[in-house]
Parts: sequence; structure tokens; C-alpha cells
Amino acid sequence: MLGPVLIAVVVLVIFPLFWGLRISFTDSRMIGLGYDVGLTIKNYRSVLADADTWNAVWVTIAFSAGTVVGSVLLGIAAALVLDRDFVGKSVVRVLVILPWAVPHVVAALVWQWMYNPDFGVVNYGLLFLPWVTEPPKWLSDPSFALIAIILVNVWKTYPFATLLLLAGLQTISDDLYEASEIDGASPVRRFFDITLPGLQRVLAIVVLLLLIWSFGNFVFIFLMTQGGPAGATNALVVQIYFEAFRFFRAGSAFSMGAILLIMSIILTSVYIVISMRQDND
Amino acid sequence: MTDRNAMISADSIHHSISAAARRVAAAAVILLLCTVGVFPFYWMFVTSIRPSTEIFEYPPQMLPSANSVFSPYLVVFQESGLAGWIWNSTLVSIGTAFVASVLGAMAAFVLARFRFPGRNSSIVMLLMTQMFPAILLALPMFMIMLRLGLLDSLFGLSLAYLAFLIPVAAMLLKAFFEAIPVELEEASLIDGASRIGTLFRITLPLSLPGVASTFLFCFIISWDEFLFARMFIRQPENWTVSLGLASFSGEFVTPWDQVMAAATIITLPAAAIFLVLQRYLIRGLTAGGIKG
Repeated sequence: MLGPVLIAVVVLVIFPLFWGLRISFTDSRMIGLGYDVGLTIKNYRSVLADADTWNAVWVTIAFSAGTVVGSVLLGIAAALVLDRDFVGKSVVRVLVILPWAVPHVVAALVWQWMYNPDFGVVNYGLLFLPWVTEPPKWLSDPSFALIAIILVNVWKTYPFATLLLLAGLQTISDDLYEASEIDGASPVRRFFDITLPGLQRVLAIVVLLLLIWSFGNFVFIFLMTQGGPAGATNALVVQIYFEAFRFFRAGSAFSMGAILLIMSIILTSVYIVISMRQDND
Repeated sequence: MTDRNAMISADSIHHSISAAARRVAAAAVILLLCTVGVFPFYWMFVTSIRPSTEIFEYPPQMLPSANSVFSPYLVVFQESGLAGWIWNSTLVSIGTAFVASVLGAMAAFVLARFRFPGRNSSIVMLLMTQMFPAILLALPMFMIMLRLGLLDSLFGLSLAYLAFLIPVAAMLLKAFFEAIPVELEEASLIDGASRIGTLFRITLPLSLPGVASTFLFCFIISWDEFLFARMFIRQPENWTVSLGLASFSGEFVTPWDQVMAAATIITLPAAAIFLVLQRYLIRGLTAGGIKG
């Protein structure tokens, strides 16, 4: 009964991946049925020598790291609050989860509208702050575009961090807190001595999953900036897409893909080690 | 003696002040989080019912316009292909969720119930497939589908979705099956039922909430998907909701009232399913990685 699934995975995932890896060593074009049989490493040579590639690697890492920091900080705050008892908690819980429920394309368009430099509600709000006189043009300003998209991704992903961290908080025994309260530890001490160590494993999983997902996030960048302005948001995924569908160079698109694959495999291995350990406990 | 009493009461006053401060801080955080979470939805809806003459106005009006209209909802149905996109997405999402749940259930049953050589490597393989960026799969699949003549068809798109939905469904259901007592299945096997019979007569009915939530989870992943659809589908009559909605952006003057009306309609089923699922989400997510 496991058979059909294993066959499906081999045919639908593993075979295409290896096919793709092979393409990365050829001169193949995206369209047109023939493909070059001669193997070459020149795609890798030119891709690795291209400053755009390294910019894309940097943007990918900055985007993912920014997402993780924002999402985890908000997630911890939300989880700590939702761990307490208060009136209307179930309603608040639903409202906190809401951003996760919205389709990615919808989120991209709504935020694009809110970031609009002339009529957008974000800048309208910012102008109420006394020290803001000239708010940024967000998506069309090279120094703010990446931050703008990171903020959208944080908004979309922090509910996930919240739910996992909340589940993690509930596994920490109340006795520990009571004991430390009797010992007279301050709430801040309690957070760093009990809460954070107790969340260690959940935190590791949240961080890894968010990193891996952010590596592959295509929708927000593609719809909001198309990698621009001036390459400021040109993450690897977007670069690969354009290489394949604007220039139709399959060979070099796939060799960039190999870089992304290596980055993901490193994170994935760590993730699998952690979650298998959990599974066998 | 008095000194000590004074100290204790000072301490307890200090204690209740800090407790009150914490309560205020928590309330502030709650308020902030709710605002951040809800405002974009509010803004989406308010924009969708604003008369088109009032959309490009500065400063923006925070409250719904006095002349609110629902015509964008009608216009978007009449003048764009929204009805067709919804139909296409519904077909693809139901089809893929069904196939993924059935195949996933079979694999999950085996993985949850039997120890055998290769079990761990099968699990690793299922986890692995969900853990790399979709574009690495989408590109070679595009070239394969091109050769098979499956591009620009909802069937080809569904096949591609199954590549990541089947592993997701298998890992989710494995967690649900593991929560069901083995004794019930053993009794059925002793009574002479086959393993498949046991799965469909005992395990599946008992884990119905798990199966339903797996189906719904796969449904929203397909409903939401954009990258594969964008690569594989060309003709507007084959567009899914993601493609259709994205086609609005990049027009010279974006008709924001209609875009937001379409966005609201497309969000409703996904958000409704999420709210139903939210109790099960944690369990599934901790059971192994899942597409975000």
C-alpha cells in the first residue's frame, strides 16, 4: 500500500529533480523539444562568475533571515499573550491566525495597494508620526523594497510561529514557574531561564521551516516588485524564473537552481535530524 | 518586627503593581496584534465597496464611503473571467485533494502501523520532498510536460500539485493514525479482514476528522498555488483564481475596487476552511513539515 505513493514520489519528484540536474550541464533551451546532449560545466562557470547571482544569493539570505527574525519575535510575543487566560481569548486567537489564512496572491495585492506611494494607507498612517516628514516610496525605492516585502512575509508567517510556539509553551511544566516565583525570580529572569530553554526545540523547527519556505517564496517578490528596483529584491527564485521564461536559458536557470538546492539541502538535513529525533522519542 | 511587616507589604504592593503593568502590556500587545492581523482584511473590503471615483483620493478615508456600492462585485463577475477561474480552481483543488488523501491514507497506514526495513528512509523521502523550493521541481516538470503535451491543461497542473500534496497528506495522516489504538485494528485482522479492508472499515472512519482536515488542507494549498500555475497555464480560460487575480496587477491603472472585490471572494473559502482547521493545524504541523 506504500507502493503507489513511493512510485508517485519517484515519478513526480525524484525523476524531475535529476532530469533538471542533468539539464544544468547542457545548453538546453526552455522551449523547443530538442535538447543538447553534450555535457558541459560552462553554465556553472558563467553563473558563478556573475555578480547578479551573488546578489541574488545575498537577497535570498537577507529576505529569509529578516523574515525569521520578525516572525519569531512577533510569534513569541503573541504566544506569551495567548498563553494567559483572558476574556475573548478564542476570538483573539482567530484574529491572530487570520493572516495565515489569506491566499498569497491576495496578500500581495492588498499590500501593494496599501504601500501605494500616492494613495496608500501605510504612508498616510506614517505621516502621523512626528518624526516622519517624507515617507519612503516603499516598493519603488531600492533601499526600502526588500524591507517592505519582508514585512509582508512576516505578516503572513508569524501566525505559524505563534501556533507552534504556543504549543511549545504548553509543554513547559507550571512547577518550574512556581518554583522560580518562590525563589523570587523576576519575570524577565523567568523568561530567559525557563521559557526560552523550554522552547529551544520548537524554536529550532520554526526557524528552519521559515528559512526553507522563505528561500522558495516566489509570489510576493514576483507580484510586488518583479525583483526590482535595480535588483534590490531579486531573490534566487525570481532570478531563476526570469532566466528560464524571459531568456529561455534552461541550462543556466537550472545551474542557479543547483545553488538554491544546495542551500536548501543543508537546512533540510538539520530539520530532518531534529524531527526524526522527535518522532522516535 | 514593624520593619519586616513594612517590607512585606511594600513587596506585595510592588508585586500587584507589576502584575497590573503586565496586564496592561499584554492588553497592548493583543490590541496591536489584532490590528496588524485584521487591518489589511478590513482595508481590502472597504476598498472593494468604494465608488471608483473615490478610490484615488488623498487622504484615504478610513471608514467605508457614504456612497458605498456593491457594484464592483457584479462588475468583476461580468467583465472578468472570475466565475471561470473559480470553477477551474474548484476542479483542481477537489481533484488533487481527493487523490492525495486516498494515496496518502494508504501510505500513512503502513507507516503508522508497521516496522519494516526501509520505513525510516521512506519517511525521510516524504519529508525531503516537501523541503525544497517549488521552483526546483517546477522547471524540470515544465520541460517534461512540454514533451508530454500536458502544458496548458488543468490535468497537467493537477499532476504537478500531486507531487507535493501526496507527501503532505501522507505525513499528516500518519500522525492521525498513530493516535488510534492498534487493538481495534488487530481485532479486525483476527476476524479475517484484509489490511485494506481494515484501513477502510476501521481506521479511516475512526480518524474521520483527520482525513477531512487533510482533504481540506490539500484543498487550500491547491487553491492558493501560484508558481506552477503561472508557468504551466497560458490561456485565460484555463486560469485558476491565483492567476486570474494576479492578472489585474500590472495593468496601467489598476481597478482597485474590482481587484479587492475579487480578492475578497477568493479569500472567503480559504479563510473559512482555515478557521475550521485551526484546531488540527498544530498537530499536523508538528508531525512533519508542511507547505506554508
